Amino acid sequence: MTLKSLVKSVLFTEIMQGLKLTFTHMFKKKITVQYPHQKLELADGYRGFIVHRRYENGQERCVGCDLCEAICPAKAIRVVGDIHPEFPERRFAKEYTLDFTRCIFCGFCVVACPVNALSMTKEYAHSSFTREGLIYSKDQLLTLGDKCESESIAYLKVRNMWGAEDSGKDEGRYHFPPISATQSGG
Amino acid sequence: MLNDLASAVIVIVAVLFVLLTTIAYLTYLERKILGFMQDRLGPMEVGPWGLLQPLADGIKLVSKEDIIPTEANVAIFKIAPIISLVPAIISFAVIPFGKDSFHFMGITTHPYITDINIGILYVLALSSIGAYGILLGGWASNNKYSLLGALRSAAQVISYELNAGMSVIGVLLLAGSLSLVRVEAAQSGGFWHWYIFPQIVAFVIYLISGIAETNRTPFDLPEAESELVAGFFTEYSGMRFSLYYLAEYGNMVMVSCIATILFLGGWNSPLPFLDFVPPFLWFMLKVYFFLFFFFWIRATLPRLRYDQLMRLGWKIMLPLSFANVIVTAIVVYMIRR
Repeated sequence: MTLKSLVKSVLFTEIMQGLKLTFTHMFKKKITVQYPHQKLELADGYRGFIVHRRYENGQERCVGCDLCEAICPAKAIRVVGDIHPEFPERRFAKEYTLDFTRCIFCGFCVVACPVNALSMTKEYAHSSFTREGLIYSKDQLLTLGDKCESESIAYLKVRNMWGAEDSGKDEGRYHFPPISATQSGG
Repeated sequence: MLNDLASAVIVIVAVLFVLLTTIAYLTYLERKILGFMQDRLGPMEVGPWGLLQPLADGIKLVSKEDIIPTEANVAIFKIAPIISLVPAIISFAVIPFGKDSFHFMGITTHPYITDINIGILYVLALSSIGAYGILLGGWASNNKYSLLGALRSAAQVISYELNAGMSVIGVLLLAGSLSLVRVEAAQSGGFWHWYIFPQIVAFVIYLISGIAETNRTPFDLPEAESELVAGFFTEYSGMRFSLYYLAEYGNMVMVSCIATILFLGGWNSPLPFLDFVPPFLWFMLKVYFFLFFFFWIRATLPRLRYDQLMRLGWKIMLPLSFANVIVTAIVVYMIRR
């Protein structure tokens, strides 16, 4: 043991340094977020609960194409497509269930959707006492979508799924005009 | 006679009340201070700034299910936490908290429960008995983690009690008495009379031994979470668990009180013109400084390895404390002659 290290250990220099560090940290700003009372701002691209969207006239967008079901890696989505009873040239989802107990919130279904019928929101605190409570039907997804419309639009915009920048229109990759618009046009 | 009895009861009730409240709020203070040192906030939910947390913890622990392992030695399992707690609390009988006698409902009483002429010896003896509680609890649980924790604890307490005892002797030589009241009185008249200055080596040794004796980080090997679950009280739950907890914090307060009395002058004010502050407050201030130091050390230092612990105790601190006693004895003999 050299003289220098002996002096160091007798005077506890290293322990003093450590004590100084912890003492200064007592007066630093705390990083705790008091969660239920205080929530962090989420980014627009946050992948929360998935919702169904509507056209501006209230017509649901989903055309029952099964692409989301096909791409879903967790097999959380089940779509039963059918011909629209009023407009035989149109298809729609007769049944649509999304099992949030299986969903991994990867966002693939939103990417796959050709008509921007799906989007993601900043909702994350949904919970239920039963498994059935987390299996959402199409109506529940639509209701949630109506509630979080601005969030779902912001998600599509920030993920570059909102159509061309300059058009400012919500077109999706394929343009299926709402049924009423087709009716008035044709 | 009746007056003596009444005064004793008043002091005992007051000491117990202050002590148990202190212990309860130490758990809160520890969590707060550790949190603040780690850039967290600590308990915040129960009451404003989490101030009612000790109460909530107490209710939880008392109302919990009482579990005794089937293979345990039931009688010893039940009595071990009591053996651990009682010495921790009754050793406060000799601690003088203030200077003057005070009047309460027409009865004159003094700021200590009793002043026996072997005060410090009594405290050291009781802290040794407390180690039996840990050892018996660990053995009676019939669990390998408990047993290992208890063995470590026994080895640690024996090695470090020796150092604590030896470091105290220097102060006792200077004061010429084992009575804590007289040790405090001998340090009156300003901070330059405090024994921390002539006995700085003993002070450091006592502080380190005190931390080790109370099984606190960095010497918390008996309850090393990463290896031994919770050490000797792995199998304990509910009320018995809280008794061990109370004993640990009671011992912490005890070590802080002894350090205050022996080295920082107890209730003496540091400068003569500060005498207007009640001696009781000075005492509390110093004790709380040591308690803060306990938490501060816990937030700073990692746990020692077992061989490092033994090396520090037997090869470094014991020779140092012996040397301190010899040097102090010679100097005191020279001066007194």
